[in-house]
Amino acid sequence: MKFSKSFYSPHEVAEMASVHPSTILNYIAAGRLYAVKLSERTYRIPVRAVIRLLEPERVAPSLITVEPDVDVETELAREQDTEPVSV
Amino acid sequence: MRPLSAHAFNQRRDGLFARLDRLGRAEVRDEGANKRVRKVIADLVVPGQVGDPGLPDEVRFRYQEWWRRSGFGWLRVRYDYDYFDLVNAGRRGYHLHPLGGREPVPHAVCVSADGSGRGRHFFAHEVDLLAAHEEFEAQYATGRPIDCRGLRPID
Repeated sequence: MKFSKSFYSPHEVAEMASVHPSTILNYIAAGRLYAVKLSERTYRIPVRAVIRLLEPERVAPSLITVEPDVDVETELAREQDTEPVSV
Repeated sequence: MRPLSAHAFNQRRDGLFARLDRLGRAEVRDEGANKRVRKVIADLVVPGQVGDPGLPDEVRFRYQEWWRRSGFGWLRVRYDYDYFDLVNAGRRGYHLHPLGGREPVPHAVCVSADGSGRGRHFFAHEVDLLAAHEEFEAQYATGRPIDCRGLRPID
């Protein structure tokens, strides 16, 4: 399946999944499908959530790293007067 | 923001990780838990290389927090929460760090697509990371360029 957009409406996802739109809205309400709520009745589903629903094996896992012995105190002192860099 | 116990800290970090993972492939680092100062860095570029053949990067979320160990738990002492619109070259952020003086000042940064706001600081209250992320995420989902109107400059 091709994904050409960053966000999809519940209707679009319903079409892709061949289910009724109310099924998608129920998934959102139940927390089974993540959607950004733009207003009381408007949701947008990120492409990652769509892929996770339709082709979960394609979703690259996120990464969390815990390094408890790293010294960041020196860095904090150095950065106190600096602005964060832009991209 | 109230101090966090080690357990609450980890819960919050894991909650952030889960939240970012909904949008894209996130990378979260937690450094210095055994030291006096601890730092959390979260980085997320979306939509990233998903889709077929792959969608271009549109936005970047970059969050950094520094926490100091105290008798009450972990105290947040600095943060840089930034959202970058890579398509329109805009930026929105909430920061807590000194602005010339010694005391940290909570403020906002904002650069709109035409470059206005660059190098300026704007009044803002202290914010929680997840509240900032919610705002940035909604901004991204609307697809609209960043708009700095309504912000009041500090300097």
